[in-house]
Amino acid sequence: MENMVSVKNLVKNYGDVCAVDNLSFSVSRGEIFGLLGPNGAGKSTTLNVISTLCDFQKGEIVIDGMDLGKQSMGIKRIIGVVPQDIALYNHLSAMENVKFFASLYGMRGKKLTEAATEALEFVGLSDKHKMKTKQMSGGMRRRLNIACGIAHGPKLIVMDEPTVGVDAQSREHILHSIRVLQSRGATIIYTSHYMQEVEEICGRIAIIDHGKMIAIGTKDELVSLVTDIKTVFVAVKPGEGFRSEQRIKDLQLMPGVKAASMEENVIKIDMSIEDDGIAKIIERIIAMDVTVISINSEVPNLDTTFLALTGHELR
Amino acid sequence: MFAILKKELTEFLREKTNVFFYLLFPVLLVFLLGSFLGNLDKAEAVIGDIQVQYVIETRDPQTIASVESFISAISEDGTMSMAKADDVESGKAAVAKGELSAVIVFEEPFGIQVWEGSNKISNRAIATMMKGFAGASEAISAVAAVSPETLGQLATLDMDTDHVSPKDLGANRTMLDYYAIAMLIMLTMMCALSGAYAFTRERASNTLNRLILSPKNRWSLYLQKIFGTIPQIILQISVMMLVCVFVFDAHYARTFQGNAFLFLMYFVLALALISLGALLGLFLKADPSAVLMPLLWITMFFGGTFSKDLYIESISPHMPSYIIAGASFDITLFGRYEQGLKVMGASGLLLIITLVAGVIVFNRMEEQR
Repeated sequence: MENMVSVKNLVKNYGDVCAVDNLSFSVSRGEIFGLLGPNGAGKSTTLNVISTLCDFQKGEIVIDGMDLGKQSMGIKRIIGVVPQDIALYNHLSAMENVKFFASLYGMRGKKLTEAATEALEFVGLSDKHKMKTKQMSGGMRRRLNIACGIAHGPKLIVMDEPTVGVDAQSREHILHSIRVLQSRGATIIYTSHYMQEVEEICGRIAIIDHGKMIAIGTKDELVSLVTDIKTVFVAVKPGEGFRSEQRIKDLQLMPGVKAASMEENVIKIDMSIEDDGIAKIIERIIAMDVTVISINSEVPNLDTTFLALTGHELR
Repeated sequence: MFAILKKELTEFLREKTNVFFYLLFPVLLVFLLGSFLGNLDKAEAVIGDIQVQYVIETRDPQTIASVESFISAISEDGTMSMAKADDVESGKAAVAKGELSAVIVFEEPFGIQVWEGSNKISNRAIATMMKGFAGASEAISAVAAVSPETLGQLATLDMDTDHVSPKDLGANRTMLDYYAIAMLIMLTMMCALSGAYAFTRERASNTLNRLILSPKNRWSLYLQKIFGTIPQIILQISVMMLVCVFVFDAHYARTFQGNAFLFLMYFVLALALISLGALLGLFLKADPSAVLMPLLWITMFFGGTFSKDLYIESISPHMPSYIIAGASFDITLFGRYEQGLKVMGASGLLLIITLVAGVIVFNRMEEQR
């Protein structure tokens, strides 16, 4: 698939501090691309450079076929930015805010009103279009922040932690909106501290730390970098004829099982992450003169992968 | 340009503190200062209480006639109570006790001696009258010596008509008129603050980055922000002048042309100060009012904006507010535009310099954190 964004060997310094160090990645058209990293990893700086907000020292960035160093004005026209900090005018209404920002992209008259109305509908604020921003709740302001970034119909949308500080309902609405934007053909670069969100909506994810690329790929590809084992926990109520030691040994001999043990009526089975033979194992356990109470699977997720790749220390 | 202009005006009008500080407060000050302080310093109220005794020591009949005619005119007018003194020494003693405002001795042609008391306002009024009388007498004598027939022509002139003209140029001005100008100066000076807030507020609300991200040239954005304040300036100055004239019955210039010039001078000045404030706002991390307010108030305080009696020889004439006030009174009282043109020229120059500097600085700015 053709690339919407191509970043090659990007270097950005703030004085003596290197915020982005030789970073390279690409984002395909129509993709939701996640950018993860601890605080101060260089995520926001990378987004700021891509969105033309700040200059860079070295590297090459091409967006929609345009070189950022030479055609920044053309790039500005096709980008929509949803900043991490809410950027709205408190004394203007929701509609006035969206219309003002869309008008900066050359929209006028009926087209402007239609675009603003659509953007407000999109984020579920059409019934609040007259409400002043200062009267809105945090979640509503977040959604309006998104509307202001997308009203002009950008091809590339850069979203820097758009769900910070919102309730579950607003978050779900925002994530749904992002998927809708993708279905309409927009390319999205997304950062968030919520791993679950990134797992849920991003096709590919890049993990950066200290301004460098640590890993890039789909969620499964990233997880496989740190572990290839998933664990299944089966809680059972043993029957009278149940002999645990013998049965556990039987389980250990099954194909795909790397280890098995039992403690306090919970059977723990480690197996290859790619193995899909869990049904056969459960069948075998049921046949062991036990009543199965619950089955839980612990698959390494992005959270554990992220921690494994970037370290546990807080910054 | 129109979008930013509309946004700036809407925000300005919806911010209650703006409406209070930039529209209502200066107008209220005109009323309060003009009414209350005006009563303390109203010349008409004091002049009627001036008790003066006089002695005519000349034997020249022409001088005696003109002095008596002058005293009679003053007494009829009621501006000053004039009584003939028995002798100078007893008059002086009465002045020393505070029973009299002054003793005046009319000597040989054009010689006048005044023994005044401690009331400065009375002294000022007496001195002005005596100087006027002496000057007029001298002029008449000179004319009489050169061209006696001219005196006959002078006598046929309608003296009331002559008297109206200088009154309109200032004689009937009140403290309300003074503060109508002074508060216009304050309002304009405060524009520097408004300019500084133009960018610091955008930065605080994180909207500055959104502006920078839009497909507009930085210089264009900067100029739009500055010129976006034009409706606000026009509104501020118009409200101030119209309320002062039509509600408080204050006076600016006598002619429409004079008022238009005054408006234009303040408009250019306000725009220059907004541009200066905006330039400072690009650098300021602190609240602009904490930095600029003390500077502006010191300038206005020593420049006589809050009281015309506050004048310090080595400081006041150099304060911008004093210079602007001088230009304004030149326009409104005397119909002279030279000083106003100088103020406008300097403001225009300041506007250009600060705009160019602002564009350069704004162009080099990276993202706002």
